[in-house]
Amino acid sequence: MIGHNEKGSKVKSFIQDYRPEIKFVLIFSVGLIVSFILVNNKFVAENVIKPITEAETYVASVVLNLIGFPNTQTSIYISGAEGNFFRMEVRNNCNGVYESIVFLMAFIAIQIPWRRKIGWMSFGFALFHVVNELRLVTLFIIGSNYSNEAFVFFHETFWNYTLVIVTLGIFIFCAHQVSKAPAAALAEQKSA
Amino acid sequence: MSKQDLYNQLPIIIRRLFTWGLLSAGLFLVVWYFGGYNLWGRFLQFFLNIFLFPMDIQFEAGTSQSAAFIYTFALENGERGQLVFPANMLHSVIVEVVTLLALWPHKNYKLLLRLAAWCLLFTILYQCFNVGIQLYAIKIGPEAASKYKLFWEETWWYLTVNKVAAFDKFLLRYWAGFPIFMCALTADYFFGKKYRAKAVPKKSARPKK
Repeated sequence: MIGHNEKGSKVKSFIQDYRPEIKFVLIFSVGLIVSFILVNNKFVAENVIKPITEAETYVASVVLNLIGFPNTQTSIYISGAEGNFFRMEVRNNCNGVYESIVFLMAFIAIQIPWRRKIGWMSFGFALFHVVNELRLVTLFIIGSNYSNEAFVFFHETFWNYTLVIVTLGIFIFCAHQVSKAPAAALAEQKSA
Repeated sequence: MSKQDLYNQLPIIIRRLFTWGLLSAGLFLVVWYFGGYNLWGRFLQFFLNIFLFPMDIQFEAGTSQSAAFIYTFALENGERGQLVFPANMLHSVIVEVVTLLALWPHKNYKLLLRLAAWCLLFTILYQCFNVGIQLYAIKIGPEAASKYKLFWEETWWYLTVNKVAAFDKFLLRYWAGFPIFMCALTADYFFGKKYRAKAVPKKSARPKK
């Protein structure tokens, strides 16, 4: 059993030891909630999110046409052509907006100077959307050629997990770059 | 493990993410799609009946597409309504937790198991919230009202619940594994006794015959 004083000191030492991490979690959580409210607003949804979704759909449609899957794109729908009756709707969760918010908020919250993190942020954001386009393209191909079960598996499991792994990988890599910096500075000080 | 030790191990963690992390996630998904969702659904139903006891939620086993939690409720006209929450939705949180557990550096298996137990507890708590809020938001929303031909008007309570449910549907459902793991680490820090590995006795030289 933890005594009252022991518990108090544990909380104190926790706050002292993990101050940057607590700060990160607070900024990240508040940022996420604020961005969510903003994105979920009807005006933003109509004037910002929908055009983004249409642009994502357009790019996926162009890529599909290029690689030999003829289709037509109308707003947020991709419909197969020349005998392909598959039709796909790009919804809110498939446009990469929510995932981008999580990704960007994590970078905003991490305690690194902006000049160091802006590069990683932009690289990650671009990579994220490339992966998302790949998701849309492959989902259309799977939907056109395979069963509904296969489509649901790739839609709900495979690509969701891939995006999580990509985000986590980039983020841990970046955290490593940050953690290297104080060690390098300390080494410099010692050598001086 | 100290914070600095953990930061020093980040390259190993990245490597473990794409080795043990992916392997364990793959194994988990194989188990899940070969009937694991039915086992987990029954397991979670037990906790749903405890934590959400005012709601009558039962699990109905089936294929990965049809297995679902069925919420039965009384309508104003005396009839009964039913709403469905697909059980397959629950795997994304578990697979994240499994990945994080696999990549997390640990001194010994006792500590890892203790962390896994905390993760299990927070996963159950979150998924009870997840199932409960989604079903409740549909129940008090316009969709259920039009389905059962009931009078419906927008209230501040519905708007609040709907916002929370939307936050859960669009963000938490896909990313909750991370806050769950963080809660487990925090709980482990505060409530876990520090486990000291027993000193390994020195090997004594084999007596010569």
